[in-house]
Amino acid sequence: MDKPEPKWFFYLILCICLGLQLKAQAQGPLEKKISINLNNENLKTALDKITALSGVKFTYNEQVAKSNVKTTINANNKKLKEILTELFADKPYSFTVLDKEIFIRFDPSKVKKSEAGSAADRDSGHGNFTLSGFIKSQKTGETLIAATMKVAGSSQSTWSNEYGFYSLTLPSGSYYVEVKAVGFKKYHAQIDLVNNTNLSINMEEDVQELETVNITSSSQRREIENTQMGTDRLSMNDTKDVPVVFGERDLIKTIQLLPGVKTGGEGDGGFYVRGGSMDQNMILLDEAPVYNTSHLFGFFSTFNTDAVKNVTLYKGDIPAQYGGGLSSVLDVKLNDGNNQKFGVSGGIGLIAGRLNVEGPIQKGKSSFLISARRTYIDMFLRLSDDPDVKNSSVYFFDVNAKMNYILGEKDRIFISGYLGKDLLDVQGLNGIRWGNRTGTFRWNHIWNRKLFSNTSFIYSNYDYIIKSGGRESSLSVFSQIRDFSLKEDLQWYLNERNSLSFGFSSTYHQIKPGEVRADGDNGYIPRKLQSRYALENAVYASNIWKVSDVLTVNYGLRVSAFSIFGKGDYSRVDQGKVIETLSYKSGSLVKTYFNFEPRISAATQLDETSSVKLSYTRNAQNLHLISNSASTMPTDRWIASTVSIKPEISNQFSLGYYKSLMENELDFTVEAYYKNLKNQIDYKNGADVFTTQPIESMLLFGVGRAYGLEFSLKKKIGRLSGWLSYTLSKSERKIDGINNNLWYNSRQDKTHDLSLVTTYQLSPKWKLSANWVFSTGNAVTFPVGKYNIIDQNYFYYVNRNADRMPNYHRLDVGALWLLKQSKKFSSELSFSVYNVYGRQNAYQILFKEQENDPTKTEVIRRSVFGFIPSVSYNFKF
Amino acid sequence: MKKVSRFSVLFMFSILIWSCEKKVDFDFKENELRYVIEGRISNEPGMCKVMVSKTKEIGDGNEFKGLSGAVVKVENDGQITTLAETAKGVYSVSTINGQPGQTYKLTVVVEGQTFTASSTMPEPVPFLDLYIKEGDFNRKSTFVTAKFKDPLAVRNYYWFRKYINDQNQKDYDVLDDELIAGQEVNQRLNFSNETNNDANDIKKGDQLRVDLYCIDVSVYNYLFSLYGANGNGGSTAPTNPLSNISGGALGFFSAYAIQSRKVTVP
Repeated sequence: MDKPEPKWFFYLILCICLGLQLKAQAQGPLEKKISINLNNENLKTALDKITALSGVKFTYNEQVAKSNVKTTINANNKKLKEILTELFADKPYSFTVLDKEIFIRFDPSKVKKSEAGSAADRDSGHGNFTLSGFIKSQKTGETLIAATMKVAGSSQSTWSNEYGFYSLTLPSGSYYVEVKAVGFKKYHAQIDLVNNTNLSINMEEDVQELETVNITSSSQRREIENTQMGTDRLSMNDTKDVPVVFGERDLIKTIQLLPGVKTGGEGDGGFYVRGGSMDQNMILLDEAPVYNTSHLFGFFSTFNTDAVKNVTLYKGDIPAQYGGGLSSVLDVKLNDGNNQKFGVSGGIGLIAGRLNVEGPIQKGKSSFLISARRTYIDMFLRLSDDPDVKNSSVYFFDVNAKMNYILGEKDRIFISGYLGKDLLDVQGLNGIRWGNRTGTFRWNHIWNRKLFSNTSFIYSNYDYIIKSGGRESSLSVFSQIRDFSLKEDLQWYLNERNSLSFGFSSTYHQIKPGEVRADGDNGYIPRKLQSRYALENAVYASNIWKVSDVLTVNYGLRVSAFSIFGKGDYSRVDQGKVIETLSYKSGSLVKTYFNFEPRISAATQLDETSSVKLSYTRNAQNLHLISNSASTMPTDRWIASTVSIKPEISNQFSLGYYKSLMENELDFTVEAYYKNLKNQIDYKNGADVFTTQPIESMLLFGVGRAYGLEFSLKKKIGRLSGWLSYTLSKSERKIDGINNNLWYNSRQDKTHDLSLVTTYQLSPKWKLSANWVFSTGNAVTFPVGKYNIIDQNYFYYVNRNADRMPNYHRLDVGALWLLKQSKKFSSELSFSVYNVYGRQNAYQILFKEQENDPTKTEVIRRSVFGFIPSVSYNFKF
Repeated sequence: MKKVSRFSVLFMFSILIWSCEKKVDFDFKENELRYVIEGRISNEPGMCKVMVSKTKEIGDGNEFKGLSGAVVKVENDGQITTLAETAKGVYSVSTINGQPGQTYKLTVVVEGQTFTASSTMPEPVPFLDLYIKEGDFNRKSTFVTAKFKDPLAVRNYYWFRKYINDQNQKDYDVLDDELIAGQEVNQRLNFSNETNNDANDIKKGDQLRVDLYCIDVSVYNYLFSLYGANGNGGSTAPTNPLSNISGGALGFFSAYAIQSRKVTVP
């Protein structure tokens, strides 16, 4: 077995980070030195002369150009900065650097002090005005999420919300605004803000930039200023370039490569965030919760990346608008559909085919999108000679459909739906099928330039059915979780310093834990486990308060109330023994749990390129996934809080340092976190999952704690891009009745976890990618002894999760070959090799009798996914 | 219902046809030895047997290594019988004829430590038939159907042990009557070749035997949780089974009613 403690990894990363810190700053335009003599010149003439001498260009609007302000200066080998400061000392103008140019703007704040300002310069008046509108893609009409808008020469900035809306309030004056979004050319415009202005920004797609790949759509500027911590935003280009098994692009597999996110094992479709368990991730698809994200027992995830617009993973301080997930929120937003032109795209891979159709319903106003994917392994099964194989089916499919309609300048509606199903079936007799269905109806309304609202009606359903039996009789178990919710979110861009978010949500949960259905002569009596009903209400408010140019504080409170209703029997359980059981009538209230979930975070900007942030968040969770398996099983059981099952609570503290290096080419982040978890749940030893006994009597309760340090270094620009992330962490549980009530490692506890993700643009036609992952093995329980019982050999265990799987590491490479690209048609071939050096990573460690000598025990390492090459073809027209 | 949940696990592994298995070296930890007791009394005449042993290192052999010198007593209705050591670590007596409805108490004193347990022998239920339905035969995995009648009046727990040509199979099934109370049950039981050796396949003419044990709830809980100790580290977190023996020994003590039926693969 490998030793799981390579400390050198930690030092290596530290060295890389320190090395990058030493990079020197390049010379800016203000540092240039010139000698100049000006005597009562017009402003424009003066600036032109400076340009001629220094080579530095100026940007300004007509107001500046036509200004009759006279300038006089006498400078000898002075820095441009000093010259301009002197030049505008008593004038109503200010200057700011914009890359290599200098922006000159009319500055009304200096008007009062200035005697020299002419009437013409002053007529723009006083007061604050609001600039608002939507940020969209010019080509497709898709709204852009988290595009940043920055006002040159001020600390003012904002970003578009989930529906592309932005609002920014500024004192009247002339401004130069810059808007940046991933994959789009930088948009800039001069705005003379003399009244409230509606500016719809259409961003031009930057083909060149698309190919050089941007890691996040949030620019560094935003990361530095924003109070938001522990957040990773992925654009779909990020998943496109990451080589994956069987060439199927996979959102969750890409998320697993982020700092602080871990996998449960090879091919695991779930993820663990900062030591939390899998069900503590709230996964939202267009706001609808998705209760099972895995296809084919977790080897693939339910998200068809063709239809996804944007993904945000909140690991640390989860915004107050989200609730119900203790460790993270994964917010997946689907594309709206191209409202400019009709288009078809798709692809064929080794195991699945995809097709995506989108287009305008009314050009520029409304659009639709349908995206589907299906595996076709089962087609090959039909060719088999073995009748068992021939009559079996194995497949999964996903369909995403969406449509939106603009009702006017102020209203927009969206309807979206998802349907996914997995089916595994042997001869139609034994099998399992499971799937999610979600639907969302949303209405965006702009009340005024500063107040934006969204109202959502959400439906979500997850169910599975397992069938076993023969030709004449069969037995099946059906289980379901279903939600209906209403959600209202408002964003109020109050003033320059405050922007508020508030709203409420109300969800009705219905859980059918299990319905046994029996056919034929097997003698089984159909039986239903009691359904559970609950209403989950929440109200929240939070405010982003810009205290000063360098300090931003975000504070908020979410109050949730989880009410459990009859009909049903509820048991009070102590130490696994039922003390009393009360029956409740339909609709009668059993219990309400109130939870106050405060959060606060603050960001201080240390300088132009670095900041420090800290945060505290408290979260509550009322739906719990009870799993007795180490991997994602569709049969894992969702239960709601009851009289005896209390809401899970977490408190998380985090501290982070953010640094932008090499002229924003590199982002460096360190975050440290500590969290404690209350009311954690685990199965009792020997628990029966399908029993009709109260589930509470099968469970054990306890606490958890997790802490860690996450490093990440991202390179966003250039031919070589990617990220390096490293996490040093610990995750433990202490459950009454497990491990002699002592602390033990949770299964997902991996001390070291490193991911290196790189993409290199070799030529306009070829793009190469590679990623390498290394992690300590999962914490597992190996036997320490064995004994004979009922004529067979069984194993003896002592401490829970005190052992380690072998270290895991793997290299994947990929290449993207652009076959053809024109306005009408483009196609590409994507090659990838999973596990290039064929590392036999342990999927399981088995202890069993040797086949040729049953008197001896042997230890078997089972590996899946050795060296797997794959190819897929993608097209678009 | 255990059967159903195990099915999905079975499926999962059948997907992994591309999986690869390799024997690996393993550093076994030092083991603090524990006592292991397996005690049985059945409704068969003269069947009362208790086996006493200790846990072994994983590198040791798998054969039973009994512990001599234990004092083993069974008490029923105030009458105490001491069992004699008939082989190393095997203690038995032929003077007890187990009776359904009777409660038996076991006491084992070994190396100065005392362990006790008790178990009540359930009434046997009518074991009506054992047959193979058409289409249920397959070389790798064959289903036989056991037909029996569950009595409605009492809670019943069943243990099905399986034998191919009198060779005991490690895989067994347990069932409680939560979903079959009072019914005539046709329970499908799986015989399969889980080795990689085709020679172990099920062939025509093979004799498949099922022993139906009627057990009490404590033994049912033991056997249900014994799945967790079979060495397959992958699925559930492995645990030691819930023993009905007090004093800290591993194992179980069961008073059971047994019936046996055979079917030949057609």
